[in-house]
Amino acid sequence: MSNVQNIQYLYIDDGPLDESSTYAGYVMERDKSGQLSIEVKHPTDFAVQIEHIEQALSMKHGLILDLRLDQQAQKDLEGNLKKVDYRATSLAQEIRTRAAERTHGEFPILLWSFERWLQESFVQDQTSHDLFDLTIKKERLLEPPIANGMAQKMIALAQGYPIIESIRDTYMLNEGWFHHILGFENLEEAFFLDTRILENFDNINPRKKKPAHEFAFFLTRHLLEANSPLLNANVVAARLGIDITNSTDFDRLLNELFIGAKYTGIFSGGWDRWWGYLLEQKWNDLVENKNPLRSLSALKRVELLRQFSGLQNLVEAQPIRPEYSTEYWTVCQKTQKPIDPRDGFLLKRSIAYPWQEQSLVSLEAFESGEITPNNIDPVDRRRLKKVLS
Amino acid sequence: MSKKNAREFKKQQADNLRAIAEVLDSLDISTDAGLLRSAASACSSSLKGDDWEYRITKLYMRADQQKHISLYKNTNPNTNNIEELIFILDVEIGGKCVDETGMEDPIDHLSVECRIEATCKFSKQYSCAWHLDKNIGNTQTESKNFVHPMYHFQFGGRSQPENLGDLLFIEPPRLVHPPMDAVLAIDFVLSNYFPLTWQRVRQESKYMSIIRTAQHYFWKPYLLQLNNWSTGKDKLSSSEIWPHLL
Repeated sequence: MSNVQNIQYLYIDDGPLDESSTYAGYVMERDKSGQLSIEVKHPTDFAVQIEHIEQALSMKHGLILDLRLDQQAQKDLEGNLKKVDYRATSLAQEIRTRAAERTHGEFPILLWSFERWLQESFVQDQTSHDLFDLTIKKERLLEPPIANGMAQKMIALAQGYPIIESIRDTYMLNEGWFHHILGFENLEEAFFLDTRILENFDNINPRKKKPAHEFAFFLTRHLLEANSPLLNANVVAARLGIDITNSTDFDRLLNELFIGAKYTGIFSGGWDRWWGYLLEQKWNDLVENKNPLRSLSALKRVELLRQFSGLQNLVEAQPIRPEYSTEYWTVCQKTQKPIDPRDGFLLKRSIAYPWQEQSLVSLEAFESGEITPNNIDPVDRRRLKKVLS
Repeated sequence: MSKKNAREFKKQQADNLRAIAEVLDSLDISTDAGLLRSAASACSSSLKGDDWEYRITKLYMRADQQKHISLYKNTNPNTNNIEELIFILDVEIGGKCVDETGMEDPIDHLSVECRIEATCKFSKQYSCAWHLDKNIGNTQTESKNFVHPMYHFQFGGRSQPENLGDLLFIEPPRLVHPPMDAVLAIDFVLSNYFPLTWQRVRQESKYMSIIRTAQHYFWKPYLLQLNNWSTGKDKLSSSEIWPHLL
């Protein structure tokens, strides 16, 4: 399965072309590999637009839509000045439905929008936007790290979709076949996973192929963007007791000592993640099962890591508050700083699947006013109110 | 034991751990059930043939002032002064996989420790601990002269406050108690320290099923072995469990 090299996205927006091109430009220039290009166009009549997209996407690999395509009149493909009468959601729905019927040639669809209500809440969003692979407020693309992340994800999504289809077609009758999508060579390697993750897609009817976007959404929303069993770099740093900002050897540590725990499945180019279980296993091997990570202070963890890796530029993370424990296990969902769960406050449950963990925040997260006691799970609310008073 | 049966046993334990994690998440207790899921991963993927094991470190359960702490009586310090009470469980367990008849003890090594920490007014800290161990028949230890039931429950643990004040601490008694895996240890903690929660949850069929499974694997062989004393069949084996039996 060779990777597509030149990734081309089609971006449809009713705004002025030069404005849309500017946003597209921000993202393209963050892509150092030069693989990514984005072509901007105005929307046109629904039926025509659908046909155009289907045609264009035989040569392009992904679609970006602005949410409100019906607000500004622009010259359409035939040069007529008009407003279209549909929104991105209708367009995307039609495309997805057709794709489901066709069962091949699917591609990622992204939503870029100015809409104020487009809340990018850090609490897991499980209901809305089940049409779009990624959703983002356009203004955020002005921030280099966001544009960077967007570029990488766009490439990863475009490359991943055809591979998903190929894996699905080859293996879908096998029990637990989803492990191929997750980057595991065989089922044994994936034994540590909650079996429900793999069973989710065990398909007994070969004539009813699920469309690729269903696998893609499951993967991005419930594994890559969830807080377990895959961990992002901040949580990995927390578990290793490391201050990620001030430890210049952190990346080397992960690539040298913990490379076996890295997620290498579909879309891995756009999401740097590590399997929490494999990370812990590696640690247990290094300490010969004597000192579980969870029971050690950050200082002790980093001391041992320096010993094992030979790398010196690893600094232990300081607690969010001086009285907090340094036996970090996760991060405050808001500040992304390391925290021992017992010092945190559980956020209200918004979990779609049983293998996902409840997130928590530290006291610091309330200072900006973005988090209020109402966001907190009832079990911790009384404790919070007492501390806040 | 066949590879398939060993795998079944490990999967059963892993599923049970995940199931109780879900139950814990749904209770009115602040906790970190993710550790149970990690243990489930460790258990289901231990590839060493017939061997199984998992380890849980620092599973905390926090008691709420109004819902839980206020129910305690005869406490020192007084419950009015306890601002926070946390139970911290460590479980290390492992052994050989067994079939589903419940005749054989699957445990070779076991250590369950519960640390209880209270924070009181003016940030004064109190703590205590208890633990449950499997005696591995080591008669060379310092306490070899003292009675060691196969599975015994003891007050105190590896981490205790340094300042014991007027409290006398000596190792005995070692009480006879059936083994506990993580599931049974959680049930034990809930029953003793979160009684109202326990009474509620134990009426739920999912919870009942989880506990029954654990009791089947870990208590049935224990009770069968103990029963040898009353049947007169193999009294020696029952006195391993309960040295006092004659």
